[in-house]
Amino acid sequence: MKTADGCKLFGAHQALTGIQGGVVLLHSVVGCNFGSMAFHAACDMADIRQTCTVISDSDVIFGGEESLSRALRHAEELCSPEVIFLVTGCVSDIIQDDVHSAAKAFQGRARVVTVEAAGYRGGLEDGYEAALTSLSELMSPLPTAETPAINLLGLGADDHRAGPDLEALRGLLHGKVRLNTVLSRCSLEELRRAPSAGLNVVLGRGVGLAREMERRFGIPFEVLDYPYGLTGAEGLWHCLERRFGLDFSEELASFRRRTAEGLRPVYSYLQALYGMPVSLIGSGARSRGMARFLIRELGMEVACQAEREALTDLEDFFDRVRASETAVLFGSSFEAELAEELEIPLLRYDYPVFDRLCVTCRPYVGADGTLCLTEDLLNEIMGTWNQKGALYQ
Amino acid sequence: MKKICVYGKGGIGKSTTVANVAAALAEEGLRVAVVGCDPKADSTRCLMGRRIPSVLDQLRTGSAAPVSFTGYRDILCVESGGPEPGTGCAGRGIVAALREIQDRGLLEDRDVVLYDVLGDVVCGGFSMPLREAIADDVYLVTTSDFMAVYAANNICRGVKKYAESGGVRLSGVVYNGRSGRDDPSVALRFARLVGTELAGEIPMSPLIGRAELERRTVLEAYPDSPVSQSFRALASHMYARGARCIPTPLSDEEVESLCRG
Repeated sequence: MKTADGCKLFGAHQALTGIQGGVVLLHSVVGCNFGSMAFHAACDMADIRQTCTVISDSDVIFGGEESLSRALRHAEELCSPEVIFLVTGCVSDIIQDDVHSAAKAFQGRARVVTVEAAGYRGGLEDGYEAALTSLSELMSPLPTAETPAINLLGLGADDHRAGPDLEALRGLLHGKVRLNTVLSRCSLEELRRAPSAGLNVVLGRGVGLAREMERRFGIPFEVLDYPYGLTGAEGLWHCLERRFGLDFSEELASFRRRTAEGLRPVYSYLQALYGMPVSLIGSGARSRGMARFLIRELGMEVACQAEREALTDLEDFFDRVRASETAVLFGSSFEAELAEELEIPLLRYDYPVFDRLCVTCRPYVGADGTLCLTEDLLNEIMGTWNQKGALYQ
Repeated sequence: MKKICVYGKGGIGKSTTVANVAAALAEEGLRVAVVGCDPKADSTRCLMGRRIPSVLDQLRTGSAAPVSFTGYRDILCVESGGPEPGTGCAGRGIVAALREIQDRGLLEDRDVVLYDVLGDVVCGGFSMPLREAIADDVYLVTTSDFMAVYAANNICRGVKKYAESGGVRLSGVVYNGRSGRDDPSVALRFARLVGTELAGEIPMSPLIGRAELERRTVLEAYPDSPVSQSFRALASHMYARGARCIPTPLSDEEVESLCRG
């Protein structure tokens, strides 16, 4: 079986490692540390704030609490964090290490936030939700900001293009709404400020924290798909108009103009995309957002679509794609093998992407992001020998 | 080498049986080893006259100190050891300790090895002696009490699983008379129903407790007592090999019915 999704620990890591001022301490075996670090390295090799107890056979037999206490001290000495995010894995869960007592007994300056994330107790999304929800313990009530402000929930620290996408999302707000806190790409100070926002915009995941913040601070929330293309931006703007009584019609018109002008030189190529069968796999909100963009704005036909967290065996999706007429595949680095087998282009947009880097400001959302995404799509097709003919029909 | 494993409900007298059977076999001139597979590491106390460091203690500290010790009548004593109560995984400890014992070849010169295993076959770790050709023969210690027979029947389920895929067999039931109700017929009928035989009977005797307080086996402390003779008879039966079988465990209702008489 090929697994389609990461485990709960990876989800927790994704939710926590982007919080500046914190360090992630995995109480788990070496593979969890190696794997999560490998996925992270392609995103930001200069900022790896994680460490691991590296549970040994002796820890399994005698309990890993001593190793954990030692690792907490080392994490503080090594990184001087304000917060240590203690993420526990499978082994400590099986042997039932008393991690909460070990965390409580820790005498360091850093606060310890514990997230139980045994891989067999849930998938990537469960881990992300659990970890994000645990962050509420770092928040206290604050007066609501006078200018409209939102928190954005659902971004992963290691999402491909997360940095450029975030700037593009900020741009979509056009100064009418302030982007208060982005989870999980923020400082601890920004995290503490999160309760001052007037709305939590949840990009598919982070609903647990949004509910908790609604309960504790009275902040309402809206769940949206990842805002690819004009339809994605429209969805976000409609939500903000409804919540804050704002008007984004000028921004909408500007978006239309910018993308139409940008794509005019390649219009004939765009026509070739109409009806072209594509397949896509991704985490729910990204997959739905991307499918909507491809169908409504580029006129492509989605032959196979899968939400990663709902898929048990990736091979099931692969078989469906093999049996289809798919000309382009959208997914993560995990789908590179299938794209190679079928000799079709793969557009990487979903976590994890570990075989591509992104150091330039080329987002996939917003008007410029829509141009980048379309450009990459066309270039990928042109770069695939058996596909490029389709663009010259 | 004869490899014998003794299982039974907690506190049923496994360690007493193993230590005294070991002493009886050693009296016959056999080179005997006892391996305690219990985190409490007290199986060999009456053979050594003291507690000995366990294999896992040495592994944990990285000490190169010996893990096998010679006790009464040159019986080789090894304790697997394990974690403090409420921490870690004792089952994994048994697995690691038995592998270490194998890797060091500690038991290679022995004629008989007796494994004294904690309580029930609660997890994969405690079934380790049943696997990988570590034991050939399993003996179950029970009284006539319902819970003791119930536990013995449960262990039969574990033995059956590994007997079907390996060479281990149930070779007999040992009746311990230390109970409120002294009725060996329950153990005898149980043994027959699961497919084996009654390998021996240990009568209730104050000498057993007295010898344990002296940190000695009954055979050493009271060699001519009837209870010592019982252990000798049991040891001969075990060495000769009993009615080896793949057990047919009873249903819970059958166990209840058996114990009601």
